[in-house]
Amino acid sequence: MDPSLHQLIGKLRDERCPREVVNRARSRIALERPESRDTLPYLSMVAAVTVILFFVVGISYQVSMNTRSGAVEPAPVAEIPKDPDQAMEATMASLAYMGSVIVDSCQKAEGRILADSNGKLPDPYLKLRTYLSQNL
Amino acid sequence: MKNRNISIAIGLLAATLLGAVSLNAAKPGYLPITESLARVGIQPTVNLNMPKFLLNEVIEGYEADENNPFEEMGIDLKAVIADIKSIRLVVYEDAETSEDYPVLMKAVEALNKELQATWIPVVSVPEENVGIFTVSDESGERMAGLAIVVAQDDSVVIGNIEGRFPIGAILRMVANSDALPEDLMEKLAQAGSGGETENGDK
Repeated sequence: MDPSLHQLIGKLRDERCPREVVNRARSRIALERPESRDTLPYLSMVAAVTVILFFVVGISYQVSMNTRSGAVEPAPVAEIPKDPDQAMEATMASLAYMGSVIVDSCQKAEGRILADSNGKLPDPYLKLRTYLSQNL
Repeated sequence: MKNRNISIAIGLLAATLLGAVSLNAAKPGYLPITESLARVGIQPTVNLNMPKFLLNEVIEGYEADENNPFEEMGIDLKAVIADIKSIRLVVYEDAETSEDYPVLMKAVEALNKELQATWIPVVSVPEENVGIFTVSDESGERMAGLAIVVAQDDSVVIGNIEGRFPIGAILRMVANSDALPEDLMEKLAQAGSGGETENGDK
């Protein structure tokens, strides 16, 4: 082989492509690749459709459950008292009624504790009871 | 570009839907009574709904009324209901004979399950179907609501006070039961059936 040709081959082997050209080529390849062009909108679209499907399935399940229940009469509707005087009486009465349910339930719970402790209330419970009756 | 706009629009719609659902779910102290009883066909004896705007009117009326019944009890009703967001009370009496009774009990069971999972029991006697629950707000330092579910002796009581209130004042009302009207239940039934109706709690 011609020695100058041999030298030329050696020089070509050491030759490197300029960085600028490599970068330009890389960015061009990235732009032309179909999956990297607009990934974000597609992903968000898939996520959005999934969420909507989830709601549609959930609502239709609820509707099918309601249909299966076989309720004969319409559901009870919430009543709102007419005038302010009636509203005041209703407020007082509902609070007092719920209070009486609380007191009644506490008495039932106390009865249960009494039954479980062979007729003698535990000391901490007695202390708490005395404190509450004095401070309420 | 068009595709991008469409997907952004759908994304926004989905986010709004999600936001609306999570906003409804994140209401500490609120018990979905109306929603739970939606399939129960029995007419309740008392079905009372006191939203915030009505409670505000009660406060205004209370301020104007010189002879209010609470002064005798030493109770400042204004202070009691100032931080209450809503009161909901449903009472069923003699419901056992109704053919929809199992549906009612199923609803009660579902409410109880929800309360036991996410609320704190104050008084609970499971053998007697008695449950009183409370829950705190996000700070964990203030009461966000009280719920009552009692199902016994032919009657079912489901109540919810959403918001904060001095429980001692309410118990004092019961202690001063002489000052309360004798026809308490009748008054409640009257208030909870003669008013204008509204679907849902609020």
